[in-house]
Amino acid sequence: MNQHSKDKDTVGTLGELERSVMDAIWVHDDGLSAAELREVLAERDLALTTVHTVLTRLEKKGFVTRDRSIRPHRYLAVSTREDHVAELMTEVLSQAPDRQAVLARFLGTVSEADTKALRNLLGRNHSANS
Amino acid sequence: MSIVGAVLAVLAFLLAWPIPAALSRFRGDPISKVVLWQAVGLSGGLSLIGTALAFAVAPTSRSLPEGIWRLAQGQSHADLSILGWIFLIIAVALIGRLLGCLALTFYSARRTRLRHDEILHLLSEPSATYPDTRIISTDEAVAYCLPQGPRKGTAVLSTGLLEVLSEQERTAVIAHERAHLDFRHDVLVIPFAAWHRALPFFSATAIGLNSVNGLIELMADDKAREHVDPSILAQAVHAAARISPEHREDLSTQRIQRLSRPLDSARIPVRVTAILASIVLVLAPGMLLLSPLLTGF
Repeated sequence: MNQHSKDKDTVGTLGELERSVMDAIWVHDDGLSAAELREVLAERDLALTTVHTVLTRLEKKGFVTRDRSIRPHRYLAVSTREDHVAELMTEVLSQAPDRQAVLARFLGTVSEADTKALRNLLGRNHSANS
Repeated sequence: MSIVGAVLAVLAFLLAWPIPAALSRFRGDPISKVVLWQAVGLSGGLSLIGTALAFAVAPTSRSLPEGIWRLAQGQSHADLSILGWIFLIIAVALIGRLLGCLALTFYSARRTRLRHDEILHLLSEPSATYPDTRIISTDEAVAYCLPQGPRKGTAVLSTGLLEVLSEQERTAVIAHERAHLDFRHDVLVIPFAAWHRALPFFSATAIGLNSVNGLIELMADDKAREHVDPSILAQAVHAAARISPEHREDLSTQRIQRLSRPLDSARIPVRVTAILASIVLVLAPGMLLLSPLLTGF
């Protein structure tokens, strides 16, 4: 995906598998059956029971829903990938006091930003360093 | 007993406003300040509860242990005045509220982190270069860490931030996040998030939470500079600040200032003094309550 990520085949944990399954479901808007999913992930050479196990886990965690009206059952994503990213970022960037105990950000967040003071200081530092 | 109550009330007042205000203005060794903050929070809560208890049993007993003992035995219920009952109810409610909020904050933080961790692992990829670090693809420029969870803590960087950082700066940011994780800085914030949840109209709880949140950043910087060049870390703070419009300006400035100077060599004696002061602060309300010497009528 990018130069910072590990090659797909180096780690074969359940977590990695869940991620591949979600990636496949996210790009198929009308959902996938377990057998279709197995085809999409053919390079991993998965047993159908493994695919079912992963799908059941993802369903329990609330990431996929199962359409039981047709056979075989189809699995659909509950939210888009973008929505999930947005959900995480809202949590990270949130300023609510009781949220601050959850995550420590590299830069804290404030509502009122006085950029001038920092710019002055950084201007000074920068000339001192270079 | 009412003298003890009065002294405790004064102590509670001092710990609720003048002392936190002074402490937040004091610029010094972050570890000393964090220790003092924890002591102020704990001692403040104990003094508040102590004040209510002391006034509750004041008319009937010579000391608090005696008063509580008599209450527990059912001897002095009849003697308790209406005012005594009110103070007793306040004390019990305060204890319940503070402990309840502490438990609630702890568990809700834990639950939120576990859920965050679950989603994160579906959206991000492990870094090939850094251990226990994950990269999430988003334009948002963020670096943060996720303590606890089933794993031993994860540092998270966004592709948006990686783009603006050099290789060395990335290493510095990760060293900073690892310091948060290795020293469990989140544990220092939990009580203050809890006190703030319990008593949101008390300005001391907001000041305390805000201060401790800033101090753990300074502590992580201090720790990170043992492994990376402080000027590189300062550059990383600068680079991240430039593309994050809503960051804590004052804090970033303070961090860059601190990183551009050598660490104060006198910080160890300061730390020892702070620890001793904290012990006195925490013991003071308890000693006052237990002491029968001060229970003049």
